[in-house]
Amino acid sequence: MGMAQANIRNFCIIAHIDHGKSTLADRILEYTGALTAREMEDQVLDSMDLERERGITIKLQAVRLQYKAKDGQTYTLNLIDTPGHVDFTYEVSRSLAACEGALLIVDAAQGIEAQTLANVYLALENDLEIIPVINKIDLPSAEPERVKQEIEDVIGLDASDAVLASAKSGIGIEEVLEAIVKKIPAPKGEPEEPLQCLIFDSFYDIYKGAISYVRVVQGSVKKGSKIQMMSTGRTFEVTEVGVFAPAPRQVQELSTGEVGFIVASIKNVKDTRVGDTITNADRPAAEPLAGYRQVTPMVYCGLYPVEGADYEDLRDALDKLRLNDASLIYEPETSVALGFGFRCGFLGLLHMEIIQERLEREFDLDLITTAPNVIYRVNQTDGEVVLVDNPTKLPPNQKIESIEEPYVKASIMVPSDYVGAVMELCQEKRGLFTNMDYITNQRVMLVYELPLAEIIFDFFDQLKSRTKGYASLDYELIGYRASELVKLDILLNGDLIDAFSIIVHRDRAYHRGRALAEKLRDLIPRQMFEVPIQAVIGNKVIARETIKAIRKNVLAKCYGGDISRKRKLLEKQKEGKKRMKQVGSVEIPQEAFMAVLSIDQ
Amino acid sequence: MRTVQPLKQGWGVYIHIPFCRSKCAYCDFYSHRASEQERREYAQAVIRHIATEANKWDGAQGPTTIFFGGGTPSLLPPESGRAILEQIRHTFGDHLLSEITIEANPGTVTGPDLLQWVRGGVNRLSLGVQAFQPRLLAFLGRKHSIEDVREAINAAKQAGLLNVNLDLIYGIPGQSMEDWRLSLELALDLEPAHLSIYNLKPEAGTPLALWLERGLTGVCPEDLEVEMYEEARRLLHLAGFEQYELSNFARPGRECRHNLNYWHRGDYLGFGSSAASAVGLRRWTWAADSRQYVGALSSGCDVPIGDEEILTPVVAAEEAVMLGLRLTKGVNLQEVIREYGLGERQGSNWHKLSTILHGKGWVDYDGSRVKLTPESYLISNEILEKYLGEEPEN
Repeated sequence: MGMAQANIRNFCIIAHIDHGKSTLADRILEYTGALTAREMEDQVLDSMDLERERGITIKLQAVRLQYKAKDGQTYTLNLIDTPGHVDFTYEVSRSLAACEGALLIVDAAQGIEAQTLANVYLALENDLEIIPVINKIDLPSAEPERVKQEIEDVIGLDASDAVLASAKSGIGIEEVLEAIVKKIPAPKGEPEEPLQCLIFDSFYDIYKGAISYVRVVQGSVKKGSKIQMMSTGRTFEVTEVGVFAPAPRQVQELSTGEVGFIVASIKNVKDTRVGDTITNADRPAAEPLAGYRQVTPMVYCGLYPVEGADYEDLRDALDKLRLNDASLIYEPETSVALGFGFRCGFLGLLHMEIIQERLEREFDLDLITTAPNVIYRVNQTDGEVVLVDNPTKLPPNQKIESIEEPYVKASIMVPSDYVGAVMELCQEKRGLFTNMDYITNQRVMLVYELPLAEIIFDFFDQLKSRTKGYASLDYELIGYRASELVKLDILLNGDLIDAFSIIVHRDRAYHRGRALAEKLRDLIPRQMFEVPIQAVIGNKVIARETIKAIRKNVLAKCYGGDISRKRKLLEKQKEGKKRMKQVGSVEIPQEAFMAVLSIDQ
Repeated sequence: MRTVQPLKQGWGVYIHIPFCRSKCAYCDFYSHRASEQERREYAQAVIRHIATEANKWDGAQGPTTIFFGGGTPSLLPPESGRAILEQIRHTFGDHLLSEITIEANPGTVTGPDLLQWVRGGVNRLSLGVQAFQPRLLAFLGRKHSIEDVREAINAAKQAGLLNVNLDLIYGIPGQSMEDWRLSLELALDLEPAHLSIYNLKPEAGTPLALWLERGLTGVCPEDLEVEMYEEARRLLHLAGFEQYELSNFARPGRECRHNLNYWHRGDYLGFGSSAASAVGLRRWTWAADSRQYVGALSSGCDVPIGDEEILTPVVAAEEAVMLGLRLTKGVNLQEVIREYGLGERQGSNWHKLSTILHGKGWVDYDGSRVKLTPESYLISNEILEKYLGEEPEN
């Protein structure tokens, strides 16, 4: 192992949202001189606007830093960022595979959260060295000793030499860096062996083509190298290799243990599939690297342009987003009510919201999103098993033998005061109690088996509001189970609006049908004629509401001095309606298609 | 050097008089209190303004109508009003002048004053009556009494003014159907030639809007407002009035010509602070600040402009439809297309749209002229909107 390789440390940061990951990353960048405080835009790693607004990290980023340690040697540190939300567990596993160590940041006042725990277990599975960092120790409510104990009790990690830090006040930053250098092992691997590079992310640049973010596991790669993608066998010539410091910077070579990017005039992002192994074309490695577990979308919804003419633009936008987000899947579908659109699969609700917002913001599209649903497994009377990703595709009743829905094991960490509230919520959401553990006197881990459909419905919002934001949730799919499920349809003006159809548990159908009809009555503005709303199961009407006709919308006066203003008023009114979808003769606002998500509040 | 622009025949002159004794709760026009001295100076400024604008316009044979609006024009000393009228005649000519209106509030007009105005050429009076119930007048912030209304009408008769309009408001919080019916009947007893009935609308920034926002006052239920409007249409029809615009009713031949020019999207020149003018595709207002206005004119500066816009022919044509559809006789789409030089495409868009709306019973359409059906008068915004913007809707 060369000197350079011995002084490389690759690490990531595991933290719950708000526990201070981005701030700590910023301080590390600042301390190592990668950026001065002045040129540093707050929280450099979260580069997408959306990430900054929501305070979460979605896409992976990698930064190379130089650190002169107390032992007098200079180390190259590669910080690979990880997302902190349950939807992105998949992305976390990607960054973990590129590291030898992880900083586990825990808020000194709040302790470990469910999601953090899940990611720590992932890191342990990947044999990562974990350095506990207790952050925000200067808060009046900080209890570092209690949190240390919690780390030992819950995770089984030795927390006796956990770093006590306050990223905000710059306390403990040097200690963190020293711990990285001392505790995290240098990357293994032989520079002389055939190249093996793990693609842990890829990004499409309109000038350079697909850019692969890689970790070199063995061998080396430089400009001019002939490389081969091991999954497809396609070969390319490298035009550029470089690192992010944090701005992209070309380097001579990426050698064993290093993290950086490779540009090779790759036109099609499919050729830089995340998880694939890059090797030498003329001296290929015998085996590809382990890669990643296949990501499975859990949540589906329909995405439709408000203006039918924008369909092609929507397709282009989805294609572009997919270049950087392999977990997004979509295929064309048609709705009677909404016309041409796409059925899209997401990792979770947050992922769905983010994609939707990015489509609207970055591509300036007006979209209708239908209520999200899970994939149902329908056992037909003829013995065939059908997967249903859209309620409207549910086979007719007489063909259904049984319907199964996905269940998850949900782990909820909550202060003991709220245990009752959480149990009640889980019960309401058809949960089956499995376990309850007191982590400390004040903190409880509840485990329930819940239908995923209930989780994506409004579980997370309810959990947050009923525990004043103190509960944290993690879940994993545990399989399919038969449930008493029915399809609930909505008729507007006598016409079935397929985009409103949902699959619900039989016991909930009546309540949800009535609530949905009421909600739609409030959300859909009055039209020039009366619009009846009916909620229907099969042929049975279970709820009925009416949207009254507009009786008055008139400009009482319009004289010489009023004309401009009144014209603008009408233009504004028209503009407002443009954001609505004309279904038959009824104009429906976008939010109505998501109404079902808010009917239990 | 400016080119002299022609004004379309039938054009009108609007004079804004921004003085009021007090501000009404619902009013969003530019007005304020002023001493008699200030009022005279303002009139002088208007006269100077008319003179300076003279060489910019080719008024052909002069305006057809003049309208003193406000504010409360009856607060202007009559001799000042006469001097303004003289200046207009002198500057633009008076061969075609057929209607000169002055707006007035009850309690601000006397017989001798009105006589002076009439001698100056005024032949139409528009009286802001609004309601006949003291509690509703108080709510609106109107300072006049029912007696003031009768006196004003008598004064008008003495001065020989027979072409009188009364403004009435419906939809006032607390106003009952009985109140409204009584107001209509008492108004009809005064034998006006013209009635404007306006739905009370809380304009942003007015005390009324503020009260509503803070929950200090309730609203008139929409269903009741609709019934009030329908009742007014019924009663006024019985009394021999013809509805010629969404809010305006007249005895045959007594339609307000000045306002008709607006709804035909004709040209007009406005003078006075905040007054609006429109010539062809250009529309502008003078700054809504009477001190600045008077100052500019007494020091020989250009009068500052408040807002200005130059419309595209398409937008102007859409406005012509928006305005024309306010008239019960509607608007001839083909004439609009021709007048604004629009292409076939706009014509066929409007034709398609009108045919669809006709099919739904919301408009009458004979292939060129489109007009609202009475059923859609009160929801006219929903229909007008469809004629704006380029794409026709289904």
